[in-house]
Amino acid sequence: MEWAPVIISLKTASVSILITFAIGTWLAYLVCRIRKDSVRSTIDAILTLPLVLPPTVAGFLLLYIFGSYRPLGELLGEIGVRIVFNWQATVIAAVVISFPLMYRSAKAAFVQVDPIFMQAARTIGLSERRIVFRILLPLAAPGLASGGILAFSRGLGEFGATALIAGNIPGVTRTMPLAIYSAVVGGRTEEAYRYVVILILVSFIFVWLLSFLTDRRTTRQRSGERTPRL
Amino acid sequence: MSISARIVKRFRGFALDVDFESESKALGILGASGSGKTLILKSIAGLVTPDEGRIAIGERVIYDSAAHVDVKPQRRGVGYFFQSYALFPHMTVQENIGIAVNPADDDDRSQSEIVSCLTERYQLAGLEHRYPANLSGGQQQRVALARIFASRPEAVLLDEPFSALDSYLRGNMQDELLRAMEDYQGQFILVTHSCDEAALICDTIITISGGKITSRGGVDKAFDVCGGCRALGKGSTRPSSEANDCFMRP
Repeated sequence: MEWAPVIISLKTASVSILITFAIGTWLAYLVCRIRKDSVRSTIDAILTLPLVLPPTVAGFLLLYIFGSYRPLGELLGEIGVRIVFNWQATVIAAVVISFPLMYRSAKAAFVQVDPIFMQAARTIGLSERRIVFRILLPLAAPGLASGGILAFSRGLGEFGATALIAGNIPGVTRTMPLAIYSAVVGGRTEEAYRYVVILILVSFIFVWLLSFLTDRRTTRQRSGERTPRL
Repeated sequence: MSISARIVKRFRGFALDVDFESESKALGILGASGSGKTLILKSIAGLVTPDEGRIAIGERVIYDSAAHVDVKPQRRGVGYFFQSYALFPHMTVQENIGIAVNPADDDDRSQSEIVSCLTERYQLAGLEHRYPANLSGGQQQRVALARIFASRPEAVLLDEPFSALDSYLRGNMQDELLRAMEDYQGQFILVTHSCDEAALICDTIITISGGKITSRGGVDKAFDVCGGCRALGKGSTRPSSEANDCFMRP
């Protein structure tokens, strides 16, 4: 078994979650502030689309944007940046595909923050900026964390869009999901097993972390009261 | 100093249209639920934008639809006591109070000095590092009051401050508020549906109904409007049934 796919996958997922977390949270905040319902719904739908479309559609569109013979691809090529079939492409694919999970979690987290806290913050004189960083983000933190972990795990498992825009180049763009595909196609079932186990383990650890962190937080804030069990 | 407000705000099936000016230390706005009293407070605080009108604290105009003045809530200098206190659940008592202190307007005293003075004043010493969820209702109220005064408002608006309390806490809170009013320069506006509370705290009372002011004046006058409330202190008029709230004095 090669370790390169494991390292590439972790590297891709780590870099892409930083981008996804920042952009997803920021766009969720901006969308929440849009007053006009029709505009908000439209933008919301567009930002959610990668979640429901097959990743190959996203990958196809990304190729269309970043392809070496497309305007943007050519422009980037002139400054010496080639995205397609490069490691960066795995990051772009992971960001696009995992983005809706972050965005939707962040939006839900912002919406459930009681507006009364923001009103109270305004009447005691906090600037809008401080309200975002001292009130809104901390109160939305459990939701943001869960969105971040979901998006990270999704990025780790990204296959379709990655295959289209980044290809399956061993040691460069071959992530674990692609390595599993190649191993199965090549009849190396043993190797596929190993990647499968690693992916399940890593994903489980992060998702477990998610439940653990969110539970602990509510316990601290609600004085000994247990998380309600149904 | 005086607070003057003319507020017009229309909704489907309801219109708020009030005009009042108050010089008194504590103005009570008395009305049933749905009469628009909270809307008045929110308009003054800048949490709701009226359709038209003019609001001024002393000489300072904070809202004027004709002149397109709409000062941000942050700059209105108006403290707001929320019925549910609205303490920040992720901050300790100390942080809740401290965040309201604007360091810019305190050259002589540091933020921590102001916070410790306020915790002392509101009997919160020893609770500084607790989270609101770990405080009793009475303690939460005191934190809410301390936080409001930490922001040095020129006027304090109280939205049904006693309605969520049992009678024991209510008495405590009323004492607390009266004490706060004694050592605080600014004006208070109290919204309530209880004649009793209004009479205890306020020196002027406006009654409103259906978004309109139905009476204004001293405490006695409002009590007339409440219907037979004079019985509380003076004669022996039998209470009318609508005014039961006024007679629930322990």
